[in-house]
Amino acid sequence: MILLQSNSRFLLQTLMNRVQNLEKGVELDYNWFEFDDVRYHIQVTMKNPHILLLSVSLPIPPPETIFLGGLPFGAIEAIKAAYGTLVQILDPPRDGFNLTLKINLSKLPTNQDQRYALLLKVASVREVVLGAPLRVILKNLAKRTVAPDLSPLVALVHRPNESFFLVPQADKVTVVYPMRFNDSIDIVLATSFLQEFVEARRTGGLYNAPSCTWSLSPPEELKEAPAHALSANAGFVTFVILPRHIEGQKLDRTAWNLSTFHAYVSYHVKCSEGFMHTRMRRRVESLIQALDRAKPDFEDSKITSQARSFKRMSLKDSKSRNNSIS
Amino acid sequence: MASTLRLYLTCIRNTLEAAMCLQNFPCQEVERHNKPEVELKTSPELLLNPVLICRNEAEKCLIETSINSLRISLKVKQADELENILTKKFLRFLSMRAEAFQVLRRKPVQGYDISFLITNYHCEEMQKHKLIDFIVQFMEDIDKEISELKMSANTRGRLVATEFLKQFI
Amino acid sequence: MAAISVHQFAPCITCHAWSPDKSMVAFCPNNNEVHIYKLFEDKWEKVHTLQKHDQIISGIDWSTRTNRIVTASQDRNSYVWNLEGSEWVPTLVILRLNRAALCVQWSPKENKFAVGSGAKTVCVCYYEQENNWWVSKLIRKRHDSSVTSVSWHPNNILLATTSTDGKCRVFSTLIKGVDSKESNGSTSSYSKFGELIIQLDLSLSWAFGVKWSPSGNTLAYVGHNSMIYFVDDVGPSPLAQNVACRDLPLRDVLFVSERMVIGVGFDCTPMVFAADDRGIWSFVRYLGEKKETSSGSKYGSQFSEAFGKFYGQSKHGMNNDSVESSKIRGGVHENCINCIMPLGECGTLIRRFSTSGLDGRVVIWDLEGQQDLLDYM
Repeated sequence: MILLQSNSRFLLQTLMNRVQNLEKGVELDYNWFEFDDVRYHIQVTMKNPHILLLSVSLPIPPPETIFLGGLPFGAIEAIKAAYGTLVQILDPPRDGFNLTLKINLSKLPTNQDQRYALLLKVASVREVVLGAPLRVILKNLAKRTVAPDLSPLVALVHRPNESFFLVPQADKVTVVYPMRFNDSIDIVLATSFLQEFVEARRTGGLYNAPSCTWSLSPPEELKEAPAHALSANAGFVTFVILPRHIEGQKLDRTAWNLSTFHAYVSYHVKCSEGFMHTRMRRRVESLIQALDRAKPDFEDSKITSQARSFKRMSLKDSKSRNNSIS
Repeated sequence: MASTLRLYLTCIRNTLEAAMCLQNFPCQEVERHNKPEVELKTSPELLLNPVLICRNEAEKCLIETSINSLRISLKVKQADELENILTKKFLRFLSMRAEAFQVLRRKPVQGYDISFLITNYHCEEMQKHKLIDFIVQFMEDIDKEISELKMSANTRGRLVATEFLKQFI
Repeated sequence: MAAISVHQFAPCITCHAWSPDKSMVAFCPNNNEVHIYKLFEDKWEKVHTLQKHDQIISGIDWSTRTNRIVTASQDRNSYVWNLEGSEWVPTLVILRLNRAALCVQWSPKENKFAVGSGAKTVCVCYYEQENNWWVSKLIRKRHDSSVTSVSWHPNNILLATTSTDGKCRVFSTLIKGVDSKESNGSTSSYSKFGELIIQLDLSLSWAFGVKWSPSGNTLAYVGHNSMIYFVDDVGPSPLAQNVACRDLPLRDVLFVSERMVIGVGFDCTPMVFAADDRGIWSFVRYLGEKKETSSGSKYGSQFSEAFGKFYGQSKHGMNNDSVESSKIRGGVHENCINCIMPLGECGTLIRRFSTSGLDGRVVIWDLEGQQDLLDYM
């Protein structure tokens, strides 16, 4: 898997399972985490087997982001647009979560394909909620406008206490990611990866992809940003999104890719490290073998040592022994 | 193999060949002790002059010899951050297997990335020429390993970037 | 063939010695024991294990006439072992050492033995009938480092030592009541016990393996700087020669005649050195097969002309891809040889000798049939 999937696989599986056995009453109470500190909770009771309570907790937003009622701006509208009558937003949400959806499974469409598509959408709830403000801005770009009430620099949460920034303009949207990693190895690997983004676009025949830059210091666009957002140990990545990048179907995909950029890089950094570990472990083993080869043949001597100590070795024997070693 | 690396390794091999003439030698300072003199350094007359072999400013090999032990310290090339981190990581992996490596010194000598401590006991239970082969192979391997790891990281980075950018087209 | 038999006794041997009739060999298998093997027809069988030391044994000597074994160990002790019935009975020798004992040798008359030590001293031990024990007299404050080897002059008085301070020294070990009784009147000319007769400061590095020639006229010892030293007229005006080896350093030497010395060491192959008619010592050749060395030019040598004679013909294939693997040293021995002992009747010419090393082998060599060497015998 190279690209990250927008739906939560576990959530999708649970929903499908539920839908297929709707008549059977079960008691469900699941809690799980996914990347970027997104937490899910599912509850189904025996009493109402067709009602499913889905709660989502989002990463803690930094102060510069706009959150309304615990959700990013545009999220409520996005939920309503995506799920229609299938879900009902419970207010207040479950304790410790940003959002609780009451899903009435009996209202699912009967057509198999439509039903699956809608369940897939539910499983992608994080994309719907977290990507909402990004989609609002990108939709404006599609219309070559800028929402009048928007500040010139928009901060969007994507990791706990971390945001990325957008500069919406009529003809383009500039997206800037301050890249932070905890581990020194992650930093170095990520830095080398990020530079590959710049290289890949320039030399890989990807001229139609968004233009991409990387710098160690914050770019011009962030001069209005709060100070704490300007420290990034793996530098800053900037993408310029043009209307052609969000034409029609591409909008959702672009929104998802942009809102999970950090997770994407981080995921591959970790994969890379895993690969290195496997390789290094193998190399270390081969070096140990090389050292063991320096010891005289132990297997051999164990079997024959008894015999050999008493044997009067002829010179011929000793010579052939030498040869076998050399 | 680059010719400078070959010359460097040949020089180290020849020096080790001459330096690895160790014998059992009990401690002169402490009763009933028998410790590597190259580590104790309590009797100056039991130490030989150290030999420093440099391939360039960044890569060098220090060979310190005493009557019963020998210390080889290596500084591995680290052209950039990535090589630096890969080297560190690789050496950390090695030190985790120090038990199996017998001749690996737990801590490298100051100013070096990795040190080997070879005592007369190692020379008794191992064949000298193969022990030297091991050291040279080690140096070759670490050089090769770092280059290959670096290349694989770069290749992966390129693939990851390309796939991501393709999503926008 | 110079090597007439090879016996693999143990993984590693530190030193060995032969019984008076050469039917038994005693060796230390790199631990705190001495193993004695006897040759029954065609098979070596272990007949005794001497266990008393608690650290590695550094020296063994087996006296020819009195059939006693003396051992020295890093545990600071020596034992004299006497065969009583079928048992070897140890007698502890109070060496009065606070560091390891490193080497031991019986004096020619076997009424004394000397122990070199890591305490930078030499112990000369003799038997006291009245008390029924071995008394140790120390030569102190003469060595600046560990004493690595001791060798008795045939006159039973002079003792040569080598040390890791690089020097070779000769001492008088005259002990009243032990030496004077049997003397032929010339003892008065000897200095008193512990007197330094001569100090030879020839080596730039550690000195090992000192030996006297059968007549006691010449002294040979080796330096870790791959040199072997020959000293004639040991006394007020000694005559010293040095011969540089082109290979790894030696550990021990043995005079097989007045004019021929066998050297053994890290090169794993015995080397023959001999003096010509004018008394000039030089390297003659290796004993036993020697693998072709891969390159000759890298070893500088003061005696390059002499070596050229022996190596001029050999191929100096400077292998440019020589990073692959190093050459295997030696032939019969596969690791450092650290002990060489004469084999044969006392007083006669030594044609046979044995070597042992870290490879755990004891090899018996015979110079019979080595035509080119017989001139020096």
